Amino acid sequence: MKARDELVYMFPLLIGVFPPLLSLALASEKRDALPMLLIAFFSACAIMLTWWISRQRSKRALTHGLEVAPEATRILTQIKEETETAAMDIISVLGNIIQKSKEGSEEADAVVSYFMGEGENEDQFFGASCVSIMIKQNESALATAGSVFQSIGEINRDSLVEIKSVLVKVEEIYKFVGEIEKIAFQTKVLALNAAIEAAKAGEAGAGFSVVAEEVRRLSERSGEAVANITRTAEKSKKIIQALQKTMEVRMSSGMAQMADAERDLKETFDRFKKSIDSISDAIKVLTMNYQVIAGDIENATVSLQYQDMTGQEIVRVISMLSDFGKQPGTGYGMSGQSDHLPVEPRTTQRIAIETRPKSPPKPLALEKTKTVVLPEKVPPAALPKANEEDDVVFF
Amino acid sequence: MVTTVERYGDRAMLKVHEDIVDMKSGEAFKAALMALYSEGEKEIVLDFRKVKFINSHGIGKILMFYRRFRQAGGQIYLTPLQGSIKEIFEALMLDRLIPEIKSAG
Repeated sequence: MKARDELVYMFPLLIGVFPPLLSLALASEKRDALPMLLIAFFSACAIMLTWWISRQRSKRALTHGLEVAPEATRILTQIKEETETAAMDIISVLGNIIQKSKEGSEEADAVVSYFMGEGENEDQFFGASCVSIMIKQNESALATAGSVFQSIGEINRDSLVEIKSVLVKVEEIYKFVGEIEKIAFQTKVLALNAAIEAAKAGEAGAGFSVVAEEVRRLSERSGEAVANITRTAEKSKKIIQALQKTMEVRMSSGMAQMADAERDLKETFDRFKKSIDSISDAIKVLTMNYQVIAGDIENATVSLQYQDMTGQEIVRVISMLSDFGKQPGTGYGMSGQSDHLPVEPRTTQRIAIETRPKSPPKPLALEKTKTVVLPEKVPPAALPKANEEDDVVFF
Repeated sequence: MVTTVERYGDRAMLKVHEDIVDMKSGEAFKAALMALYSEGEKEIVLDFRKVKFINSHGIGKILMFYRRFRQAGGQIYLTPLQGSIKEIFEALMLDRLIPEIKSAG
């Protein structure tokens, strides 16, 4: 402010103070007008000097305030922009969460529908579920196994019948053997008789010839019996061989069927196990997906916390500006305070952000600010209200 | 690169170059399928000839996009499978769900 302007402002004061004092002096004792005039003059000078000092202090505070205000405005603008950026980051993170949740849900539904199905209903695109198909295959394998076991029972029954037949043939063999024994006995008796008769007859050998003839017939019968025994033995042998062959074939077939059934059962259950393992694995994947989602939510929470702190920073700057408005009233340089704005070290809050495990999507550029250091966090309730400010008028 | 895309007429062949066994490969596989789906492709041929193993990170995505493409009137096919990947598809009965084609063109 120029000196001429100072005079312009001081002129009304001179007009307003000095003439009344001069009039008062002249109106009192006219003899001593000069001392009163001097008193009035020095009083006016003292008032003007006091006013001038106060004004200089106000000017200094105002000058400082004018220096700080643009920086504070710049900071606020920067904070506003960064707050908007952070808000966009949060929206982006939340969008990712929603997208992942939807896709995770869709994937889970597809996996469950394909492997497990929904009761008796077939999926429009997947058809019968893997579990229902495996159950049907299992039922079929079990039915095959039952058939195999039934066949084995029939084999056993047929074998019993044929073994009984063999026993009958063996009984016939025993019968022939007994007859042979009889014939042998009779032959032995006849031979004895022939020997006796031959001894008696002497020259008469007619009887011996009869005995000899009988012995011959017995021999023939013995030959026939042996032939019968041989045929029966052969027949029995063939029956037993046929039985053996039949049993071998049927047993082989049964074993093959049993092996097939066992393999089918094993494959079915292996598939079932793999499907169950796959389902279990899928559930793990889904769990991991939700863990990722939880991490995203955590990041969003951190961002929101950061947003809250940004708001607190804005409140602090507003508080600072508010304090700036109050300071001239308290008298810079008159109460032992510095002529600068109150500066308190910034420590806790911003450092806490820097050292947290997960950084926000984009750190505030405010970290680079050097000119103005924000004060410690002040609860909004503790901030001075507008109507609490001192009634100080600068001009 | 987990996948690449080649075009044969109306069909797009998605060639898979790595085993799909973890979150990273699974997400890359999903992103490739999503891109084809978003572009309005109707017929996709999945080529797993260079892949030896695939687990739920890939199976779930195949089922998810099988349903999506079918809902959109499209279809997913497979190139002829071999070795362990064939055994996996057979064990999970995916071979009966997704038809094989010998030629993508």
